[in-house]
Amino acid sequence: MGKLKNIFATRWGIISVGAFIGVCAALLQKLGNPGNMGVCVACFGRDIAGAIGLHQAGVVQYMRPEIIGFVLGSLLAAYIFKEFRARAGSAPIARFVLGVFAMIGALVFLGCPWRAMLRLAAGDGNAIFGLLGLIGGIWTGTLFLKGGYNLGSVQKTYTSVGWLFPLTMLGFLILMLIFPQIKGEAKSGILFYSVKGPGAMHAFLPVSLAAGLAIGFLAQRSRFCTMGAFRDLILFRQAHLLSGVIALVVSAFIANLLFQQFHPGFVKQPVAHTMQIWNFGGMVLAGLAFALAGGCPGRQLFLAGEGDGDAAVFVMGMIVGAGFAHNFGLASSPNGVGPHGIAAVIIGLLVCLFIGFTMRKRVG
Amino acid sequence: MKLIDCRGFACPAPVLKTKEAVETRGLNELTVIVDNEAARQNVGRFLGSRNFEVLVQVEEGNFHIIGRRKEGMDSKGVMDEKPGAAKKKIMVMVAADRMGHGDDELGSKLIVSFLKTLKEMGDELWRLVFVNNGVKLTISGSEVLPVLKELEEGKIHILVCGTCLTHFNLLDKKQVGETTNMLDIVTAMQLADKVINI
Repeated sequence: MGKLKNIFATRWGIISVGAFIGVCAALLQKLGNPGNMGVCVACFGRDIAGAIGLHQAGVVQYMRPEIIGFVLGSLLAAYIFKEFRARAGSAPIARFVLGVFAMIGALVFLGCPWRAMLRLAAGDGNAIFGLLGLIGGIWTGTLFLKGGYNLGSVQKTYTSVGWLFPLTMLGFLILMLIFPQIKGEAKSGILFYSVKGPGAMHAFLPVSLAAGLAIGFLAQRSRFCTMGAFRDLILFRQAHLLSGVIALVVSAFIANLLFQQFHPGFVKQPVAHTMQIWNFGGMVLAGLAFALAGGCPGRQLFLAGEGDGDAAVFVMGMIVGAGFAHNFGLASSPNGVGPHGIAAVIIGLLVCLFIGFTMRKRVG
Repeated sequence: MKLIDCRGFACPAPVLKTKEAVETRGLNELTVIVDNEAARQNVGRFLGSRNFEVLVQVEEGNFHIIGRRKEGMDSKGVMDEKPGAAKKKIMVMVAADRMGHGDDELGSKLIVSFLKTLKEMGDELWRLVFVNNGVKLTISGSEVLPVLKELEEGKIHILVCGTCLTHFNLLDKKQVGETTNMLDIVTAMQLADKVINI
């Protein structure tokens, strides 16, 4: 049992999980998801915010079943392997704020770290600047970590606290079944559905959900995390998690070649812009926020699935942040940054610095 | 032994604390307590990468990760703190396939009887270590195999000396317990409250 339990935590375990995610993402794109967006936690979180009407950007509204699957798959894995631990209480409001600004930063770049990797694997050169920004943000985060930054300890809590977020996701899925998409209609019951744009592009619901469940299950076992990959490399010179991320890029690249989804270049890349300073700057903000919150958006979803109420608050922050990003004109579009995107990145960085400098606690 | 309590903290805090202990303070042995599986793996992996021998015990839902530097084992570290010493930990070391000297046939009967009765120690029985001729009790055909398997299922750690198995050419005949090395045995002796030698 011990060996079976830890198989995905080994070097080959994390590599196979990364490779699986890469192939899944390329396949989901082939089956209908938007360009270079087979899986993107930031974009899909934003689409969910749109589906429930937190913003009115008509082109990005869809209740993404992949996200629901991530959380429920992780919950399942955590229960099967007895790792479900309901816990909460480590500076939730700080995590909420970090979630808000992580989302804003990601939407200035147009993608979470996963999508940055997928964009790179599909030949989108703009992703290089986003990735450099991500690494820069995480590096800044490691300076705070070395200086003693952390958000304080968590408390064990009622099992039902850990269930709240997975139940919310289940509720979203049920809403989707009660109010299914009607072709050509922008609204079905209370849910919004894009009729054009990236929000209108999606794989068949059961396929998306199944892929999400599988990824959620495996990622919970392997602790796959894109932020952790660079953080551990910088802080501890450990490449364990990074090997999973590299596997993701390589497998997505190969799958993209096979599916003829590889188009190298900088201009006219799907759902991307070429303002490189802000591709970089947006991801510095996102990377710093992820590092301060202890996980990339994907990892936060998996943690929320295994009972971490603080990670759930971070995800809620991301969804609300998507509302701000589109209502206030902070999110970028293929034409470039939004009217107030630059100001939001600067404010976000100041907020992250405030959190990083003022929240320290001795451990041990 | 230095005790670092990281309960309640998610990574990277436990790994950072461990890093500081072994790199800045240069500790050669330490116990890190964490309360989640991810931190257990991360701290274990980190110590492994820094050339530490790692031993993990589960106590009351927490993981006690005991690390010892592999080279330069000159530390005389007598433990001043025992991690969560709620109940006694008894380690039984079996160095022969018979009990006592004199009549060999009697000795064989006695060791069987001894191992069968061992479970009466209850949950204070912590670890069972087989060395030298003792390893012959763990191979296929041994009369006490069912008893040992039952003990192992009852969460008793059974350690079998790898060097001894190799010496007798019995490595692939071992049916129960984990193959171990002298460092594990010595560490276990130090952690135990009582060591009984047979």
